[in-house]
Amino acid sequence: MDIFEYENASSKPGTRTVYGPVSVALIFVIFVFWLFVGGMLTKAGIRQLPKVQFFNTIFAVKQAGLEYTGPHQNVLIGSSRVHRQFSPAILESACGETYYNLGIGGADSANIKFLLDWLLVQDTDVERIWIEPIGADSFDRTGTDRNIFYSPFWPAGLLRDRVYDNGIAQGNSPTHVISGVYLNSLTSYFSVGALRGLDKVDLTVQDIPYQFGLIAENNGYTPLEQFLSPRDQRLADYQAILARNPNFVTQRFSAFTTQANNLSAEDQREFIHARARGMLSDVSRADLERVGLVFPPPDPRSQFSVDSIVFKDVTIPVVTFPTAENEYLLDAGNWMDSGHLKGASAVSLTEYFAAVTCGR
Amino acid sequence: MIFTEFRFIVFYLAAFIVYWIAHFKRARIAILTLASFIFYGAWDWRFLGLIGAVIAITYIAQSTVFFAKSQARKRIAVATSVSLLLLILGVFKYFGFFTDSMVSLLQTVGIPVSSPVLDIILPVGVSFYIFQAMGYIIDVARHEFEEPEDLLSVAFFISFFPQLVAGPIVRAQDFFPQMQIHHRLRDVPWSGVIVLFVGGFFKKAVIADNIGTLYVDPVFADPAAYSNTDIILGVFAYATQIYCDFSGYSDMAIAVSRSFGYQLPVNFRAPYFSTSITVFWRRWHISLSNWLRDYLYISLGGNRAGQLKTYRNLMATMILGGLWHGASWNFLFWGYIHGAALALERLFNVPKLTASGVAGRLLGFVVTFYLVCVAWVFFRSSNFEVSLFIVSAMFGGETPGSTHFGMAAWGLFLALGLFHFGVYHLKVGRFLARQPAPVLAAGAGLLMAVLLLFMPTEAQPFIYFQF
Repeated sequence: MDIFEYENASSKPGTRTVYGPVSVALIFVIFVFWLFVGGMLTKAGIRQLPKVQFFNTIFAVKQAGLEYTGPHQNVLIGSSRVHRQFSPAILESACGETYYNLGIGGADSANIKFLLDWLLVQDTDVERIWIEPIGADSFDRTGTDRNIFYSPFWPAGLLRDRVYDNGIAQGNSPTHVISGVYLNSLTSYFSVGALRGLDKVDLTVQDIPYQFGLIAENNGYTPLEQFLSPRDQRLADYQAILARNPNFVTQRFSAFTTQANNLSAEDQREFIHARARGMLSDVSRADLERVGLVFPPPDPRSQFSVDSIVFKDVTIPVVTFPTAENEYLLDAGNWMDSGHLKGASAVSLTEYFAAVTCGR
Repeated sequence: MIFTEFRFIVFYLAAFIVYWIAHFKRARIAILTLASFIFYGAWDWRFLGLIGAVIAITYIAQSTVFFAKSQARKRIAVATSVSLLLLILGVFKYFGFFTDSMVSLLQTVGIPVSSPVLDIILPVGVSFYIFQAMGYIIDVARHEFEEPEDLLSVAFFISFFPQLVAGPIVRAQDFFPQMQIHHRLRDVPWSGVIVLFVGGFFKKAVIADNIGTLYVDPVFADPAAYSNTDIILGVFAYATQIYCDFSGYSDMAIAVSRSFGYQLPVNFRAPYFSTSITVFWRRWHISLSNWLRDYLYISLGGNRAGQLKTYRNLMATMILGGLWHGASWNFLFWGYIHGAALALERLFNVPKLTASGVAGRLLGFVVTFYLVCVAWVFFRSSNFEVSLFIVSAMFGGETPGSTHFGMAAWGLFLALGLFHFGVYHLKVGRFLARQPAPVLAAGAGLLMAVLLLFMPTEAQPFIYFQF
C-alpha cells in the first residue's frame, strides 16, 4: 500500500477516466494481449542471452564442456536418465561419430526445451540432437512445462495436446480429462519458474573444477556410481523398496508394457507426438531434420513400439527400449536406484541405442 | 486458493462478471457471499462449518444486544458471544500448545503422561474473521449502530473473500455503510486497481517467494552453518520477505475488493522507514494495530489510569497481539519485545526525539529496524533455542559457520531498500495510478510476462494465512 498510494491517486472524483462495461472488457483484452506479446518478446530475449547470464552453474559447466570437448556431431539432451545412462565413448566407437551428453540431473521439460533452443541457435556442427521430451517431469504431471507459455501456438494447441496426451494415458471421460488438464496446464502457466527450475541443480563453487574434469573426460557422461556416495539416501531408499517387494522392477516394467500394449500403434505414436509437439512447435523444418526423440527407462514410454513420428512433414526418429530386446532392464541388480541403471547396464543401454540409431 | 494461482483468476472473473451483471444490491451481496464461501471452501470444505458458526454467533449476538431490555442482559450477551468466539479460536489455535505445554510440565515433575491424540486442523484466516466478528459485537454494544443487521449482511461482512484469510481487518462502521451504496462499474478506479494488484503480485510472487527460498529458509534451517554477517543478512531477508508477502497480499486484497466497489483500509505505510517502534506500529499491519488499540488497549484502561498501568496495558496488549499470531513461546516473546520497546519509548519520549533532525531520524531508523529484525527472529524460528542462537550471532556472538552469501546478496538487499525508498518517497504509485487504465493494462501485461519467469516453480502460501 505504501508503494502505491492508490487511495489518494485514483479515487478523487473528477480526476480519472470513467470506464463502462465495454471499456472494462477492453481493458482485460488489452492486458491479455500484451501478456501474450510480452511472452513472445521474453522468449526472443531469452534466446539472445549469453548462456552464463541466464543459466546456473551446472548448465554453464555442461555447456562449457560441450564447447571444450567439441565439435560434436551428436548431442543428447535430457534429465539424469540421459546424463547417467548414455556413454558418448560407447556411441563413438559403435557409430564412428562424436557424441556429447548434455543430460542434466533434475532437468525438466522446460529446461530441456531451453537447452534445445540454445543449441539450435549456436553456430555448431551438430548434426543430430537427441532430446528426452519429458525430462524429469513426473509421468502423471503435466504442470511444469514452460512451453505452454512460450509456444507460438499458446495456449490452444498445446492444451489440446495435453488433453489428448492425458486422455490416452488415463482413459478417463473426455470431460474429466479436459477440465482437469485444462486447469492443471493453465496453473502451470502461472508457475513457470524457469529460473528456479534451473537453480535447483546448482553446483557449489568448489565442485566446479571437479565436475568440469569429469565432463571433459567423458564428454558429459558420468555413471551414477561415480557420483553417489555409498551412503546416499537414494540407494537406501531403493534397497528398502526391494526389501518390501523383491519383484518391484519386473512388476514395474510389466505395468509399463501392459500400458503400452493396451494402446494401438497409432495411439502410441499420437501419445509421443503430443508430448513432443510442445518441444518442437516453434522449431523450423530445417532444424527439425536434426532432431530425434529418446525415451530412456524407466520412463513408461520407453516400452512403446514407435520408431518415428511425422511433424511438420518431417520424419523424426524415436528411440524406445522395450524389455523384449533389453532384458537386463528387468534385473533389479542392474539398477543403481529406482531411476538409473548401474554403469555396466548403462553400457548395454547405450549399445542398444547405438545399434538402433547409427546412421539414422 | 491464493491470489497468485491461476484458479483464483478464473474464480475472480466468474464472480466479477456475475456480480456486475446482477442489478439489485441484495442480489450482489448474496453473490459475493456465495463466492466467499466457495473461496473459503476451496481450502477445505470443513472450514465452512466453522465460519458458519462464527456468522451465526455474531448474528444472534448483535440481535440479542440490540433488543436486550437491560444493561445486564446486554453485558451477558456480549460476554457470552465473545467467550464463544474466543473458545472457537482457542480450540482451533491453542489447544495443541496448551496440551503440549501441560504434558511437558507434568513430565518434567515426573508424572508420566502422553499427549492426547487429537489432530485439530488450523483453519486459514480464523484469527482475522473472529477478531472482525468480535469487533462488530463490541461496536454494537457501544451503540455504534442504530439497528441490527440482517443475516446476509452479517455473513457478507465476516466472509468477504478478498480480506477473509489475511485481512485487512475491517471495521463494521466502515463496511456496513458501503453495503447501502448501489455500486456502479463506472465508479471503479481501474488504474489504481491495476497498479495495486500488479504491485502486490510483484512483491509476493517475485520478491517474497524468491528471497524466502534463497536466503531465509537456509539460514533459519541451519544458522550454525553461517557466519555472523550472513545470519544478519538472513534475518534482513526475512524482514523483507514477510513485509513483501503480507503487504503484497494486502495490496491485492484491496485491489480485488475495490473492483467490486468496496474500499478496504490501508494496512501498511512503509513501516521499515519508521524512526521508533511506536511509529512502526502505526505503519505495520495497521488494521490489527487499530483493532488492538480500540478493543483491547482502551478496554484495559489505555493511558487513563496512570503511568504504571499504561505500561502494563501496553505490555499486555502486545503480548496478546503476539499470541494472536499463534500459540508458541516465540510469538509471546515477539510480542513481549515490542511491548517492552513501546513502554521504554514512552518512558523516554523516544518518538519525539527521533522525529526531528537528520541524525535523530537516521539513528531512530537504524535502531528501530534492527530491533524489529531481532523480534522477527522469534517470529520465524522453529524454536526458542534457534532464536537465541541467531540473536546472539546478530550481536557478535560466536558462530562456527563460515558459509557466505557474498557481496552480491548485500547489493541485492541494498538495491531493494533503495527501490522501496524511491518508490515511496517519489510517490511512484500515485503517479502510475493517474495514467489511463488501458495503458496500464498493456504495461501490466508486458510486466507480468517477464515477472512470470522469476516466480518460483510452486506457488507459496501467504505467511499470514496461518494466522
